[in-house]
Amino acid sequence: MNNDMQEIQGAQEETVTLDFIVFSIDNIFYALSTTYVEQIHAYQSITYVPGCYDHMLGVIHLRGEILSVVSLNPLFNNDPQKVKNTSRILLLKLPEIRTGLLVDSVENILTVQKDHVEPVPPSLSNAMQKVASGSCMYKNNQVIILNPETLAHQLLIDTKG
Amino acid sequence: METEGQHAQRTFLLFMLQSYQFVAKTEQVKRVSLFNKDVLDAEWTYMLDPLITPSLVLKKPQILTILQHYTQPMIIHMTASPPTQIIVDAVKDIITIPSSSILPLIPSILKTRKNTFAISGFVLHHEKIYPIIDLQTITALPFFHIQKESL
Repeated sequence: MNNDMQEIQGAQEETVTLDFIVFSIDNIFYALSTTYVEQIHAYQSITYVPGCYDHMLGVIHLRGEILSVVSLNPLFNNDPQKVKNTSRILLLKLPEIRTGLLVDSVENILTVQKDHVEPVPPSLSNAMQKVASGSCMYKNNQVIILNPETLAHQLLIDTKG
Repeated sequence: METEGQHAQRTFLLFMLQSYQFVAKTEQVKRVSLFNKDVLDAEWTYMLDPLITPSLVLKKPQILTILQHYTQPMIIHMTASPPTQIIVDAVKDIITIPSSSILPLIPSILKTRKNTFAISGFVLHHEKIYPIIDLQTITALPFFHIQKESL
């Protein structure tokens, strides 16, 4: 009986799962824990706010509230993000900063077994490695799992100096 | 029971800078006139374009190029002392906004602002957001200052 219980407990420990929102930007797939994603919104016109860091695209008005919107591209030294029909704004509640994130598309909610999370691929650029905590697979594509703490930290510094 | 100020309204000058629209409090504006370098008589004259293009250095060739692209260059004469004026792309309108449509800066903007930041809040008008440029802070940004000889 005790052995049976131990086996069941063991099986439960092995199947710890993590839920991520998978989204894409410039054909690269990213995942962020659903814990940090409050809402997903259709794209709406962003009002530019001058005098902010390059990754701060501006603000939107949503149900009486002003929300900022950031882009990851300037953090990764990529070209400015283009708006597409599939573009969405994810409202993120990261440590120290609550902001929208412009993405090209939201793919899915992905449940991954914790032990299926792979290390950060060494092929990633230094800038990407700073905000990544691991990787996993989604429909035969590699997905970069974002670390909410380091992502928030990078958003709060002027990476362009 | 309604409290005093619940229906208070504020007026703002709506102006353009390159393709962007901003507002400024009318209390900070004495008058507005069409741009003419001969009427630049204030002690201090500013252009706001480095707000949009941070790498911009306001030297004579750049200033002349900017002015060529302005829709209808106008001068905002400020109520500041010493007399101060700002050249903008075009002044579009004066808008009246209920106090409830004036929104403060949000933490994520405050935490990501550079030292050239000049926005003091936002107004909502006809479903659009207009950043409020605090004209008084512009005068604290010496690199926005231009000389009459450059025009």
